[in-house]
Amino acid sequence: MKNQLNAVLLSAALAGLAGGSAVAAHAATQTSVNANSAKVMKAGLRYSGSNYDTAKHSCKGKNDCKGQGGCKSSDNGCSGKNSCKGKGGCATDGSKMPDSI
Amino acid sequence: MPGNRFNAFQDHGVGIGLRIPHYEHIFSRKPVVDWFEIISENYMCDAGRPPAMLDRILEQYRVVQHGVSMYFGSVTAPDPEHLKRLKNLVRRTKTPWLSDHLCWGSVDGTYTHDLLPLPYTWEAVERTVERVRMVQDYLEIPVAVENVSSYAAFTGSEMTEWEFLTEVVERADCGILFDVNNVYVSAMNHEFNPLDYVNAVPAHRVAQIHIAGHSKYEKYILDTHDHPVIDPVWQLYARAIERCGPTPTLLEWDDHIPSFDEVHAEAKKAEQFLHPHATELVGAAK
Amino acid sequence: MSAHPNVQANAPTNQSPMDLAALQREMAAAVMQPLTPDENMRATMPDGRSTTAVAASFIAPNSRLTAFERLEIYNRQYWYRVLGALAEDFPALRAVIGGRRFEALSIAYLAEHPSRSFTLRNLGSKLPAWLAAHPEQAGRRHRLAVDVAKMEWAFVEAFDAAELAPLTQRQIAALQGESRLALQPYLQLVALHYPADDLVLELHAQEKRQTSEAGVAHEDDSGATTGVPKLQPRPIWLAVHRVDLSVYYRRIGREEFQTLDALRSGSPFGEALEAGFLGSRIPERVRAERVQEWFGSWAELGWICQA
Repeated sequence: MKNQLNAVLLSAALAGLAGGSAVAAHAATQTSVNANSAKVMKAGLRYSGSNYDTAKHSCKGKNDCKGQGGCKSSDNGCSGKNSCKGKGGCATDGSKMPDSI
Repeated sequence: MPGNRFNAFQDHGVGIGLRIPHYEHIFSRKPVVDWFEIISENYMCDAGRPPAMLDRILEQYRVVQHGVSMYFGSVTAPDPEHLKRLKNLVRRTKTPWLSDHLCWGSVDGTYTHDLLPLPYTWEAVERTVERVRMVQDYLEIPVAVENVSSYAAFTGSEMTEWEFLTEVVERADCGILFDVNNVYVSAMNHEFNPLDYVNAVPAHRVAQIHIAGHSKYEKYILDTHDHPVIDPVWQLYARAIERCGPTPTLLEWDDHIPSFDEVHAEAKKAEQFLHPHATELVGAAK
Repeated sequence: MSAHPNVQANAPTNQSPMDLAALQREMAAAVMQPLTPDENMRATMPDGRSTTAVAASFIAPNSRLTAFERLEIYNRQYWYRVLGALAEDFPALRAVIGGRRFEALSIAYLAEHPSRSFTLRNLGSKLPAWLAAHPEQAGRRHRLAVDVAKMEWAFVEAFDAAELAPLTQRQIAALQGESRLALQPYLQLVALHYPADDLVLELHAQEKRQTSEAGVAHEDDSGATTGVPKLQPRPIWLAVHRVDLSVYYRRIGREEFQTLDALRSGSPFGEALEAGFLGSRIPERVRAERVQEWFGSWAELGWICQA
């Protein structure tokens, strides 16, 4: 009985695969929006979070915490600390820093 | 002949770093840009949006790869998976040369994801040369090493940074990605004259030049890539071009990224140094 | 000014210079050591030595900064970078447990699982499992926090994981009960205790709005978890996947989830179908119909590939 049920499920799965695959193959040859939207309908809900497009790597120095905020050129009161937690601050006026140079 | 063997004899002109906030502008307006530099690691995933966006860029623009985690100076060998993915990306972009930093950043398989400075020792020269040669042989394209901005110097150093750089590139027979902003930042942080560095760099090996902005703090300068290029750095650039000749030049802007046009306009300021006569002619015609 | 200032500290010393491997291990240990609450470098190393002495053993001071202060710049940058990367991948987790707790959790996680990959993309890969084993890091909403972390990591995987060629008609025709199938690597199967899927989407949308309105993301350093609704526990099964470069999630039934999970684990086709209905209340007479629907949808979405 169990084997019989399994055979039925297997046939159903194969029929589903064949049918779905045919639909996908047909959609791939279509350029219409409808063909694609049918796939999207099946896809569920679309995710569009803030980290949707992300590029984690760069070769810049980090002057901020958690990727938020940062050091603005208008900030004053440099403390020499590369943090943005109310203590940082920087300028880019090109002025020479060390007197010794 | 334009260029040299370290940049595959390319005369790329002035490019900018490809950044996600500019995608929309690039795809919709198709601006004329000499070339884009990509951060390799941002496109070394298996599939999905990053490589798809890159392919769209590659249809229209020249792209050169710049890496941030090869760590030529690390004592532990690079991850074979990293190398394999990098080579796959090289095949995809057909980058004429590839660059990464003269630094270390990982040890025993643990990564700091920072560009940590090397002590300028003979041991470090040997170790770095070995690694650069190995990577260059594996990738089968010219490799250029970039001088980094640094905030610390080592008690054990046996030579200057520019002597160290020269030793490495001569022995490894590789190119240099010469970052004149990094020269300025390090000069301020280590109290040397940046012109000494620019005047000493082996000009015939310079494959590419980086320019960027930085942030000045009370006691040090940080290489933040979030401001326009300051005049003293433009002066170093002018001197570098005087020594190296016209060299592919790239503006990096990585934080508080302004509009595409603003970044591109900042980069194009380099043209007056690259082609001073042409600029004069245009000025006269106006 | 010295002509060669980089070697100015190269005066002969009684100590022999540290070799490169030792220097890199020493510096990495200092740089990766957590900061103090005031974001300064700690006074002692993990092994109890003075950080000042350790820094001075290989770093030269300049006229403005001591060796300690110069090393501290790298210590801060390390933490800003890795904490930033983690916060980027888990914004909803941060919203659920609060900014302060999230930072503490991130530091504890990274201390135990520093990056072992050349890419920061993989930094949070162990966070969901780690958080499940560390309820003390999440506070009262531990199970919800774990659900949210699982969702957010699934998004990372679905975003850029590999895509294989789906099964062809010819391959389907050759399938038997003993055949093994593979699922698309980008397809993520997530079992949740709470309906955290909608919550994560809402929190991400909120964050996106705040980011675009303020120009920079909203910074909530408080421990408060304001704006997060109370949820009743309810088992949810999800397929997080990708269509045309966009990430989607789809709620699926327990049986559908179990079948996919068995296929992913490498069970033969026939066994996976059996595993799917373990403990199921779906009447046997309708199971074939359901199975045909599932496999039809999966094939249409391109989820099923050759093992």
